[in-house]
Amino acid sequence: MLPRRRFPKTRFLALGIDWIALLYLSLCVYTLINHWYPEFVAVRPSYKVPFPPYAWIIALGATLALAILWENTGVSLGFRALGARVVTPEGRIAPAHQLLSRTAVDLLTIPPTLCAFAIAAAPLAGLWTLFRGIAQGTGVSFIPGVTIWAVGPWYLTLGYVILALLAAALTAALTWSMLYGVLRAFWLRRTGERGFADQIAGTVLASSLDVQAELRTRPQWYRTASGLFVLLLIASTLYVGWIITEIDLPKLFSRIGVTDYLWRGLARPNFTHLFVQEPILTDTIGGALVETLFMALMATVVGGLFAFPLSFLGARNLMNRGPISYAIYTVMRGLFNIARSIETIIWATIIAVVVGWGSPFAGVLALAAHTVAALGKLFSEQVESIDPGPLEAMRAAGAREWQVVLYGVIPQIIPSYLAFTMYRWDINVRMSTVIGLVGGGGIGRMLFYYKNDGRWSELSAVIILMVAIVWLMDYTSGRVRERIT
Amino acid sequence: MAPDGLNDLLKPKAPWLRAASGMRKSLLVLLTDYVTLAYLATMTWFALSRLAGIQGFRAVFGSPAVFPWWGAVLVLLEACLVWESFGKSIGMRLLGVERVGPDERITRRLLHLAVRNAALLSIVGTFAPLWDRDARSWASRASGLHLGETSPQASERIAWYRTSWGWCLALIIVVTLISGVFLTEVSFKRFNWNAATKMIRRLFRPDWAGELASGIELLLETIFMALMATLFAIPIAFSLSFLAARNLATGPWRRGIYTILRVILSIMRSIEPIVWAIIFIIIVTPRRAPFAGVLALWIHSISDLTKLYSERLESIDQGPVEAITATGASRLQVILYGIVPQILNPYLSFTLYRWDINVRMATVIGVVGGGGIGQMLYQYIRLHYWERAAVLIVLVILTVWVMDYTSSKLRQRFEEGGGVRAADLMALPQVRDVK
Repeated sequence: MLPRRRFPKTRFLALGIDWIALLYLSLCVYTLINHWYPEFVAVRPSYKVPFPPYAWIIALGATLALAILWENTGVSLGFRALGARVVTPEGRIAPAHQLLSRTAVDLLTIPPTLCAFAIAAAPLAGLWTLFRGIAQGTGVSFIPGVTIWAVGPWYLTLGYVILALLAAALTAALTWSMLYGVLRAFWLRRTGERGFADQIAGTVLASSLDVQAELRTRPQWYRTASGLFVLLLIASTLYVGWIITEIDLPKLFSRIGVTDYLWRGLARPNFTHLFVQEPILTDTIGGALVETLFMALMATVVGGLFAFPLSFLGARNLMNRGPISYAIYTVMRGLFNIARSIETIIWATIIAVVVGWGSPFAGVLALAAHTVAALGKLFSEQVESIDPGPLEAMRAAGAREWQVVLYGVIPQIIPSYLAFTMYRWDINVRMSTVIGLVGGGGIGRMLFYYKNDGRWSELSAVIILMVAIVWLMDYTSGRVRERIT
Repeated sequence: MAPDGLNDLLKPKAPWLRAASGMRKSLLVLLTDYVTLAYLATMTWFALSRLAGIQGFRAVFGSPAVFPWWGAVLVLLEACLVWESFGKSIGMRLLGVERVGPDERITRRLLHLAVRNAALLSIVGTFAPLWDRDARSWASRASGLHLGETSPQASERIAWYRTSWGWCLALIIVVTLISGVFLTEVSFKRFNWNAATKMIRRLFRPDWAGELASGIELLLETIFMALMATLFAIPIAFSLSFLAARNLATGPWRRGIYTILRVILSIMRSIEPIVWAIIFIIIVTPRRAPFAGVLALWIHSISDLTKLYSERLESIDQGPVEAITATGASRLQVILYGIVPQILNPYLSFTLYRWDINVRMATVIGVVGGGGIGQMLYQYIRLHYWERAAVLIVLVILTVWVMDYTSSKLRQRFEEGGGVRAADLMALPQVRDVK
């Protein structure tokens, strides 16, 4: 008897990998068709081959069917990645008739299961509609797009809401029991038992390490379907990427000769305005440079000060004392992640609208927003990795939670906090040099001005100073961090 | 028996060299103090003038009639000398030295200050150690005080708020923060609360129907920009990394190549991709914006990946390399079978990391016209189309989040050694664990 993989998880993961890979390939094919169509048919170059809504259903269905076929006739990409094989109970290659019946059963069971998942999401959509309707005051309903009851006196509305909730609960009970029935019939078995398809076909889903020796010898990658498929994926990705990103090497090389004025300008940096004022901007490059450094400094200080207390709220080991603190932890981590995902430059564009274009204050706020999130995450990870020994000792001695944080946690994290803050200052200097391009202040503002004016010699001077300042900060922060830690 | 002259050369340190190093230390202390005090004075002046609301302080400071610049230099220099003679200056603290002498009499310190003033003014006395028999300066000879290493327990003894350098440091921090507030024009009066509330309210009502389809298309373009930049950077960075690894750079030629390459890469890395994009857009014209973005990310990726790769190469295990060299393998074979299997998984991990960074960068490279989702997002924000901007922001957040999560999971797997086996890729005979 063969030990088996944990059944439904491996099965669904493998299917997911194959399906997504095939969908991606069909997307590539669609892009290529769009690219080549105007070459052969007389349409305008920007013409797009229509892709109606039912084409989505066809594409999804066809790729799913292909994935099922592939998984049952050979070792598919997903099976290869997860190390699973379909074999006979003795661990040999399954004969054709078994594989055929397995394919048929898969084709019959997988689409209904996915449909059941889709239907089971309907009550959730109903609840969402209900809350939206109430929040916007349009009416009470649990069917998207249809208002069943208008908002009336509060007792009537309350009654409607209760009725709607009951109806949603009834729908949920029905659809979810249907989903459970489908899952139970086809998939949810105890570990070690075979799935529906395997039972019918008389095969097992085994780990590729546990099968017979002749199956275990792995052929070279270029003789397997998954290896060739990956090659196809890489090739089509390169081709499609080439098209989508509009790469045009002949143009690049021909234009390098045409834009010689740019190279000449860049090669002769002009430092005149380092200390002489630029009339329109009423600022010198040197002054802008100082402003840049101070923007980064202020943002780091402000960000660090805010991130310090917030990091305790985002540390799992301090915030697992009940549902409320856990909720705070989750919200803090979510906010950190969201604020961190928006780049500083996008923050600057948004804040420049509020504070005014070109002011260094906008730059400071943008840098600080990103710094709080990034440092908050780093800090709270640091808090999570502290030695719990002293904390437990203090708790055992009857210390309060704030005392534990003050005397047990903070002394352990101060050096790494300082190192992270230095590191962040380094990054902030980098970012503050370019933040002026989108409405923050600092040397980026000069860069933007010279770029728009086409004054390449001055632009070159600004770039050289930027490199110098980034280098200097990199070196300094590296040395200081070495000393701290 | 070596001749006497050679013995002299082989002595641990010639006297003039020792003198120069002592002099260097004292001059370094003076320089550090001077820079610190000059910074403190300038910033205090700036902060005070702003705090007092004095307009045109530059005119006052810059005009020689009111306060000549050389006067400021002399005053600061004198302040440094006083500080160094009577207390422990910040330069002494940083370099870990102290002025020590036979006793603590104040007259010694006064004498030191006076002679040091005279010596600095005539310059001659400062360079006296060069020809002095005991390698001492005039001031030190007259007062009997000299710069010595700080004893280990000395710095522990005194709390920072009871030392002059501690106060100086505190003052610097305070003054820096105050002048930082003025320099960065922090003012909440400029805050347009009206616009902010309006913006936030509209940002929370994303226009899914109008923007989602084109947003996803832009997102695809962004991801492909990052992907193409990373993929095209890999072969170049891979081959350059062998030239940029310190342990492989033996001999003067390779050493020279190594140094030049490191400097160039370092400069390339210090220029942000957005700045590269500005240059490349002019070359490939704004009509091919994504191409410019790819080129900018590509240049930056090459320099970053080469650095990461070559640092990994510098820390490889020499055992397998030597073993394969001992079998008489060619240089190519040594690299292929001795080095590549060791670096494959770290390289993949670095590349994934770089792709992750490139996706982040690609979302913003559009603000200067480099294509991708950033270009549209920037337009929407400038035109205050907040409902549409919100859709793009949500898409960016989701993408960055997913990329971050996936790449960190995959990297973890590579670092634990569970990644790709070199044998699979290079058609080597495989060793299997047979039960």
